[in-house]
This record gives sequence, structure tokens and C-alpha cells, in this order.
Amino acid sequence: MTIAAASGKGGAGKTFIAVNMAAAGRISLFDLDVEEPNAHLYFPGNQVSSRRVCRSIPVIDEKQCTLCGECSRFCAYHALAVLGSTVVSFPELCHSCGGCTRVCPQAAITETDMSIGSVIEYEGTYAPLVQGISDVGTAVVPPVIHQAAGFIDPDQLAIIDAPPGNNCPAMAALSYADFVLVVAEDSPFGLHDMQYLIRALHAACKPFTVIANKAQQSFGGLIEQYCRDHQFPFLMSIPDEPEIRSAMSEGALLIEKDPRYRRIFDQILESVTKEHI
Amino acid sequence: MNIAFSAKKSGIFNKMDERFARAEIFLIYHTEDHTFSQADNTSSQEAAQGASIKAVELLVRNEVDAVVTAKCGPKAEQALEAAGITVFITDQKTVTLALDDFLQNHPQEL
Repeated sequence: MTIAAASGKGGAGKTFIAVNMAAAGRISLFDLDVEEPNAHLYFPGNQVSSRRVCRSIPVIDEKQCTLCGECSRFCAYHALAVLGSTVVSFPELCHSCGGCTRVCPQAAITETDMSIGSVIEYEGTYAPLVQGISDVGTAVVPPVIHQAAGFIDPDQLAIIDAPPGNNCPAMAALSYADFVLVVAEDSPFGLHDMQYLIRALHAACKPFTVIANKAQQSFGGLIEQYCRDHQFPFLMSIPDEPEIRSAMSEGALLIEKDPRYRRIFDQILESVTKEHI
Repeated sequence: MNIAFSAKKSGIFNKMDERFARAEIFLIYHTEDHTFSQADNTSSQEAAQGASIKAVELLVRNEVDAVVTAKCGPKAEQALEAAGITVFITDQKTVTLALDDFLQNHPQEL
């Protein structure tokens, strides 16, 4: 079973939940927030391997090209354009479908590999960590997510630290989850973005429960109230405590610093696995 | 010479669109006969990605030599350069003002 920590808004506490839960249960952790992976900062371990992730991009043989424009008309992502007396390609926009190589009547287009990121394996003190990390400037990151997720063993328990939001990277990561922990910051902003994520989860038919994080008195249990009103599953509130913030800014696991939290994370894991295995 | 202006809607007294690729329309001034024509850019505006490339292709189809706009991204710059279209940046708010600005500051281009 694979459990993902996801959130509509960034900074809601996905990594906080994911690393502490993985450490408490000694469960393999997959950091699929490939544009800004940070689970390794909290999850002690040594790097054991690193593999490059590549994808195919077109190369145009200018000698063969007649500037007919078939390739640019075909490309839905505008990664190729006939401009003046040349074909300009924008590899960062390419989705590697290979269509241009097929429609070119001159067979002037071939494919080459472009590096877009890497997948790094760590042998963790608590459990293994697999991290996907995209190269700076890479616009299309789901292939990095899919490569890193390829290390998930569906027969074992696994935890995913997902990208924030409800865009392509987030949904690519969540496609591997059997169950989603929606981590919502207990604020109007957190509520707004959680609503979008929940709509995406409904569309993807993913079971979930909500954890309200950084819960503050001043907002009066906004997230919990919303979940009750809309009959969405709600698991618990985690208060906005200074010691949580200081553990996170030190790069420490909260369960190490405060044994009370070890029980809380065990409890989260137990309630999720009990209901859904 | 054909000079395109990134605009919010048709009509030369209307506002310039500050963005190049996501402008709704390009108003094209023809220096030979001092007339305007227009090219609808809504399909680039709605593109999920690569709007600037689509917009440059549109300008190429309309035989544009220069574009006057307020802002132009790196992909647009690259595509415009490949197409041999010169970019002129303006902070004028309407198409007529931007045209005056262009004619005053770049008479050598005509």
C-alpha cells in the first residue's frame, strides 16, 4: 500500500508528515516533489546510487529539411516552428511524443536524449529514501516523477511526499497512491487550495483523509469545520506549536525530539492502514 | 515595412497589451501606404504553452518585419530573432501613441 502526503498549498506540512510517519513506521519514503525535493534534509541516510533521467527531443537535419512545416503544424506544444529560413526547436516545450519524426516527409527529424533530472537512492537510518530531482529549468517534470516512482514496491508499505497543488506533477505523483493524506494549513488560504486538491482527488477517484496542520485558535478550526460541513473525512488537527517549527527549521525529525509525536504518527499510520488494507 | 503592435483589441486608439505573446490581437501598420491591418492572436492567447512561438508564426505569416510591444520573454526573443523580426520596446499605452513613439525614435528603420 502506498500512502501520499499531498496538499493544495505549498508549505502546508507534507514533508513534515511524510518524513515523521516514514521514520516512525520505518517505511520506504519516496520524495516525488521533484522540483524542490527536501525530505532528505530530515531523513538521515547515505546516498547509494544516482541515475540520470532523460527524454527524447527532436534533432533536425537542416540539409534534408525543406521547411514544409508539417512538424510545426503537428506539434501541439509548439516545440517546433518554421521561422524564416530555419526550423527552430524549443526542447523544453517538447513532450517527447515522437510525432514530428513520423510526420516529416523528408525523414529529416531524428531523436536524441536530453537530461531532465535524476533519481537518487539513499540508504536511510530508518528506511530507504528515493528522491527524484529535476534539472533546473526543466519545464516537463512528470517523467522524473514516474522514474522515481518506479522504485515503489506495491506489495510493501510506501510513503510519497508529493508535489504541492493539483497540477500535472502533483497528479503524476498521486497516481501511485492508494490513499492520500491531504495536509491542509489551517488558514483561509490553506482552505482555498485544499478545495482544489479535493476536487482533483474526486476526479481521480482517490480515497483521502484530511489533516489540519498548524492549527490556530484564531481561525477556529476552519479546516475541520469545512470537512464536517461537506462530509469529507477528517483525521486530526496538529497544533501550531513552536517546537514543531524549531524541529523543522533545524532539519530534525520531530519524533526524535518529542516522543509524544511518535505516538501521533503511529496513530495516523494505523488509522490509514487499518481502514484501507 | 510592416510593423506589428501587441494590442488588447482592434482599433488603433485602443490600449496596447503589455504582453507580447498573450496579446489578443496584433495591429499591423504598413509604412508603404500608411494603413493598418490586423491579425487575431486569440489562439496563442489560449495556448497552454508555447504561446510566444505561435505568436511569432502568426507574425511570419503576416510578413511582419518589426514588432512594438512592452514586454517580450526569452523564447519569444529567440523565435523573433530566428524569424528576422526586430523588437522595439515601448511603454506607451495606446497603439497610436506607440506608433508615434516608434516613428519619432526609430526613423532610420523606415
